[in-house]
Amino acid sequence: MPDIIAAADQTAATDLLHDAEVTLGTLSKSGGGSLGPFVANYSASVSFSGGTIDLNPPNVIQITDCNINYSLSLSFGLDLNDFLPDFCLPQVCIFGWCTPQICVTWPTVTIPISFGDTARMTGDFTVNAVLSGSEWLINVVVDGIPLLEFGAGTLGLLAAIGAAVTAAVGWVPFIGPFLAALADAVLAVIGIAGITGLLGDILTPFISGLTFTVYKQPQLFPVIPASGPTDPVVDVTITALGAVVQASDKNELVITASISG
Amino acid sequence: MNTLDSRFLSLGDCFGQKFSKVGVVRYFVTASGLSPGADKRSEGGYVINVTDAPKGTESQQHNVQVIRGEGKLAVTPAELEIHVGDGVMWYTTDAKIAGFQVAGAGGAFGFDSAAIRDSAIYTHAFGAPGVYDWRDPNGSGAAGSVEVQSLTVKTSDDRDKWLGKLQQAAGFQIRDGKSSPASVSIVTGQTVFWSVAESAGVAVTDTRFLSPPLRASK
Repeated sequence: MPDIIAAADQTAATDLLHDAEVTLGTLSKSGGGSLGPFVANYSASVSFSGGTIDLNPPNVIQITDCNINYSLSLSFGLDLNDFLPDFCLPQVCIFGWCTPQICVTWPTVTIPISFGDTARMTGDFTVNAVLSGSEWLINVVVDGIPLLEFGAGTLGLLAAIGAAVTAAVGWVPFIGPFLAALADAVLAVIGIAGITGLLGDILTPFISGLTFTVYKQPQLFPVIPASGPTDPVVDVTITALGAVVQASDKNELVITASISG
Repeated sequence: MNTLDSRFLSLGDCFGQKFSKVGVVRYFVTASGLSPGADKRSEGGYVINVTDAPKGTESQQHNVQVIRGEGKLAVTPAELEIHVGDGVMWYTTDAKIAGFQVAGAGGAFGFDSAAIRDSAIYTHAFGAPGVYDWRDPNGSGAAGSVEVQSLTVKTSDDRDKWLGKLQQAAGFQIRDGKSSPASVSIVTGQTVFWSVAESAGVAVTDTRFLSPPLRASK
C-alpha cells in the first residue's frame, strides 16, 4: 500500500506536458539525409509546444497536435551539368578577327538553405517512473513513431529551395537564360516526396525515444526543518514511485509513492 | 569569374595581336604581369617566328589556348610559325584560370594585353545582364558602356533565337584615346570586341573595379 497517492486529470496532465516541453528546451542535431537525388547535410534545432493529452487506460497517454517547431540549415551540392544543356559560345567575327568557339563547363555549386516551420505530431506515449541518480522522474515516453503532419511547410521548403538555387547560381557566367528552367528542373526531381522524406529523416531522430519529464522529485527530501541544535531536520526517502493511467469516474494519471523515514 | 577587365583575361575573353614585322617574338603568359618586362628577356616563355608571307597569301588568324601546366600557365600550341600580317589570338576554356596576361617582344616590336597599343583586339563575352560602364584604367580617356539585356530560354525555339543572337557581333573601336560608338546593347552571352589601333597602351576595365578618374583642375 503506497504512503502517498496523487492524481492528475487530463487537463492537469496537459499542463504538466506543457511545462515539460518548456523544460526540455531546444534540441539540436546535425547529419545527412536524402533530398530527392541529392545528399543534403543539415543542422536542425527543434522545440516542442502545445498539444493535448488524452489518458487512455491502461497506461496510454495520447498526445494530439503537439507542435514541433523546427529550424533547419541545410545544404546540398548541385552539379549544374546534370541540369543544364551543353553550352558553347559560338564563333563571332568582326574587325577582321574571329573568336574561337569556347565551350562552358558548368560548375558544381553548393546550395545553402535556411528554413523554419512547425510540424504537428500525434502519437501514443507511456508513463513510467524511474530513479535517476538521486531524483525520481516521471517520464512520458513515446511509444513507436508518431504521426507527423508537415502541412504547408513542405511547399514552403520547396519554395525556399527554388529561391536558394536561383540565388546560389546567380554568379555563374552565362547561366541567366537557363535560370528559370534550372530551378524548375531541380524542384521537379526533388518533388514533394523528396521534401517529406528529408523532413522525416531530420525530425524522426528528435521524436524517436522522445521523453517528456512531467515530474521530478528528489529521492531524499526534508519534511520538517531543523529548529535547533538538538532538533535536526527530518528527512523522508521515497523508496518507490509509481505512475499509471487509471480509469475511475474519469481517467487520471495516478502517482503513488512509498516512503521511509 | 566573368569580369570585364582586359588586364586579367579569363574564360570568355580573348586577346588578339597582329604581327607586322619579320622576326622572332618571345612572349610570356602570366597570372599577374611580368617583371622585368618581355623586352628585357631573352629566355623562357614561348616563341613566335614571323616570316615574310609568300606573294598572294591572305593573312591568317592563329588561335592559342591558355591552359594550366605544371604549377604555371602554359599554352597550346607552344610554338608558332606565322607570316607577316597574321594575327594570334589567345583564349582559355578553363574556368579555373582566374586571370592571365600575355606580353611579348622581339626586335622593335612589343605587345601587352594589359596595355594594348596597335592592331590588336580584346573580346569579352558578357555572362550576366546589367549595364557595364568601362574605361581605360591607363588614362587614355577611352570609355563607353555596354548594356546587357537578360532573357529567358524556356523552349528550343527560344534557345535557337538566343544562339542566333550570340553570333551577332558588337564592338568598339579605340584609336588614339578615343572610342566609338559610345555604347552597345547586347543580350546575355553575347561577345563584344574592342579593336585597338594607334594607342599608347590601353586596357578595358569595368569602372566598378576602378577608383574614380582624376579630374584636371581649372
